[in-house]
Order: sequence, then structure tokens, then C-alpha cells
Amino acid sequence: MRKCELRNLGCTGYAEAYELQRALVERRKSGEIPDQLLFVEHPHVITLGRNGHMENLLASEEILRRTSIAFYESNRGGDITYHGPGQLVGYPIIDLREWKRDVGAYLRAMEQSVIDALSEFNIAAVRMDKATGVWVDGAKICAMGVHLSRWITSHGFALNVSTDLRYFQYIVPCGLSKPVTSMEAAGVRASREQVQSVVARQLAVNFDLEMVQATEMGRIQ
Amino acid sequence: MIDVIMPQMGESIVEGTLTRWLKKAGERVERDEPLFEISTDKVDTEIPSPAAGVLQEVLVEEGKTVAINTVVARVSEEGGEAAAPPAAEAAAPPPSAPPEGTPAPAPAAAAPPPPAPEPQADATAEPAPASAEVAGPISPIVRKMVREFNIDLNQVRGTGAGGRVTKTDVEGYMSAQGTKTAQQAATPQAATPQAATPQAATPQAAPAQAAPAAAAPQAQAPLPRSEPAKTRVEPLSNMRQKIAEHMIFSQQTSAFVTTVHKVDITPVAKLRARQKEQFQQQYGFSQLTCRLSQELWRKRSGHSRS
Repeated sequence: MRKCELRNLGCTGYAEAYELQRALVERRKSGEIPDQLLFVEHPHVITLGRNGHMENLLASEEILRRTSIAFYESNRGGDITYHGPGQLVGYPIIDLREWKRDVGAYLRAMEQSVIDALSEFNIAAVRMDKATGVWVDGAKICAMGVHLSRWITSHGFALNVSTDLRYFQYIVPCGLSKPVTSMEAAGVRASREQVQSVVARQLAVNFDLEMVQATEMGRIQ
Repeated sequence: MIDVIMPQMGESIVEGTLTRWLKKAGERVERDEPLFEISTDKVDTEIPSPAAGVLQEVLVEEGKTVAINTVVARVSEEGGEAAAPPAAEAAAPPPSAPPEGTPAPAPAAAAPPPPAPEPQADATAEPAPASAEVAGPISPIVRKMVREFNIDLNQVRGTGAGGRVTKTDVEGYMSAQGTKTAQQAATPQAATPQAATPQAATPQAAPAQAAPAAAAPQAQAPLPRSEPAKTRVEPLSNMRQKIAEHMIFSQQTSAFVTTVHKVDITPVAKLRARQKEQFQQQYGFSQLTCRLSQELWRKRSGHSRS
């Protein structure tokens, strides 16, 4: 089992979390720190991944401004997606050289962790071939997008707990015209802390990690 | 000049999409500095430069998908001049075998980190080359004979495939040499790396792999290394991979049935004997049997056939 530091960033802007991830990835590369797992809630933001197409952004700049939705281009894989309050965003920063040098296996294990976590809340979630992410009755409940640098992962997954799904109307999520859903929409009321704790545990199981609370609380200097 | 290749990011991954070049042709790069990004599934990966130098040729455009091991660019090592603007070809060049020493992409567990095809890179997959190699692998019987009779294989003419030395060759050599075998062995033409000094009579001159004992008191010929046949592992091309997958899938999902019917084909044989002058050369017995069987089958049952 490898050690993994758990960091709860609370509500943090996308850009700030992005920079924090980059700093942590560099420190992970040098072996200074062990694997990391960041949990964060972002204010409304639409992000474009490296496979992203701007045509999948359905809102004009005007609308984005009026609804206070930020917009960023990201270095993660995947297309366009939305993050916001009520969504549990997880960023595992793991050195795949110590687990498996296989990006496919990484995605599958991350999906499985979320699927297993959701089953603890009695939600029957599945994965779909050719559609990375976690699905409930044909609707996406958790999106994924990963960046790899020297086999160190960053970015990760975004699980809709009680996300206001109306915000997804401004994008074609991941370029797919499939509906999105949330735990709440699936009839489950659970606190963010509860869900976070279960997801962390399942990630630990699937990636053979020993979760420890990070000593530096939240922010890194 | 170092080849930069599309790496394999996982066991079942056979291709990748080059999403972005982080450097332009003519720009200087440091070793391990991110050179380009690729995308597989929902993962975007930075690929570092295998060497320090100047990015010379950019062979694959952004947005293109190529098979793993395809050469996507070339970097000239330290001291190289920046080249003239590259000819950025649209199509992917054919996959090239990785440069010397780098193992071919076997299962992901063994896959090396993003390309480091330096000549000094770990050569675990490649046996150390012998300077005087015998053509092709040596069969066990030849090896045994060589050991027993202290034959310098380099003296024996190989008549087998690819110049291999066969048992017959060795026997022929031995009978031709007769008692001169020992003298011949004392002055070998080419030395293998393991031989200390060709003239040395010490048994320790023999290479580590050679079996001990059975050594004649005369001067030892350097024994050839019992190295494995030279092999090269080639990854499956995308098409072959797909064919293999489909074949297995077909096997797993189709019911394979073999039926056997006993048929007295005496009438068929008689018919053929009567008709054979009329048939052209290419129509043989089996053709007629097939055709008649087909007719029979169609009349007897509604089974589909192809």
C-alpha cells in the first residue's frame, strides 16, 4: 500500500486549484511528496479540455458574464464540461509508475471507484464503452478528464451530488448529446462530506492507497 | 539524430492522437522537457523530449492519430545546427522499429517511460553483440559436437539456411581436418569477445556459458557463445490486431459445428469417369464432388451453406 495525502480544498476557484495541482505534480515528480488526493468544490465554471471544441459551448460570452460562469482552457484530456456548487470534484495526483503504466487501466479504476461508491448509496451506476465516465440510466453522473506528465496524474473526476443541472444547458457535455444527472436527481440526498468519505475509501481500495490527512491544511505555500 | 516516437500509454492502446506541439521546428529542447501532447481516451499526456538538442523535423501534424511507435519527430543532439523549416507531412510515416537497445513495446508493465531511445539506454532486451558471430542459431547437436571436439565454428562452412552450420557440415569438417583439428583450433582466425588470448591453453579462456570439462588437453579454441537465435519482436500492426480480435470474437460468439455424413460416391466416380474428357484441366475431382454435394445438400435440407 502506498501513502496518499488527502486534501480537502473546500470552495476553490478553478485557476487556483489548477496552479496548485501543477505545483503538486512537480513535487510528486521529484519524490518530495507522496500521492495526493484533492477534493474541491468550484464556483460556476466551464472548462475546455485538450480534445475540446468550442462549438460545444452553447452560451455566448454575454450569457456567461450574466450568469457569473467563468471559462478556462485546461490541459486535461476530454472535451468541455461544467463544474459548480454541489459537485464533488476529485483530483488524484498519483504516480502511475508505482501502480500501472496504463492510462486505460487508470480511467477504469477511477470509474470503478465512483461506481462502487455510488452503490453504497444504492445507486446502480455503470460504465459505458467508448464513453468514459459513470452513467446512471443512460445519463452521466460523473465526468472525467485526466492530464499526465511523466506518468503523474492530475485533474480527475467530477461527481454530481446536488449540482444544479440547469447549468449544463450551456454546453454539450463532452461533445455528447446525452443527458446528465446527479445523486439528487437519482433520489439520493447525501451530504457532500458523506459522499467524499465514501469515494475516498473506494479510491483507496482500487488504487491500493493508504489515505492520510495532509499535514498542511488545505493550501500549499 | 534521435527519433521521437508515439509512446504506448497502456496495454491495449495501439494508437494516439497528437494534440499539440509544445515546441516548433528549429527550437531548442532540453532532455525531458515537454515536447508534445497526445491524447488517448480522456487522458492528455505530455511527452518529454528524449534528448537535448534542436527539434529538426516535425513529421506528424496536430490533430493526427498515428500508431504507437510511429516516428513523430526528430531531434538533433547537442551541437546540431537548427534546420531549415521542416516539411510537415500530413500522413503518418510507417511505424519504425525502435532504435537500438530499446525493447519493443511489450505489455504495459514493461513499457518504458516516454521515449528514451538513447544508445546508452539499458540494453536488457538485447544480448551483447559478439564481434565474430556465426551465421544464425546453432542447433544443440552442433553445439555439443563443437564442445566435444573443440571445433572453431568460424572455420566450418555452413550450408544450412542462411549460412547456418549444420551437423553434416561439422562432420564433413571434422573428417576433412582429421587429426589437424587441434592445430586448427590453436590459431583461430577471429576471436570472440570472451576469449582471453587465442593461444592461451587455460580452460578459463572458455566463455561463461560454455559447459566445463570435456576439454581436450590441446590448446582450446574459443567456443562460440550459446546465444539464443537473433530475434526481433515486432508489435502487431493495427490491422493485424483488429483481425486477431475479430477472429477471437468470432470464435467466442459463433457456434462451431462440424457435421459428418457418410456418402457412397461410387455414382459420382462413375459420372466423373464418363465426363472427364469434357471437363477442362482445372476441374478436378474435388470440384465435382463439391458441386454435387452442394446439390445434394440443398435438396435434402434447408440449412444455410456458404
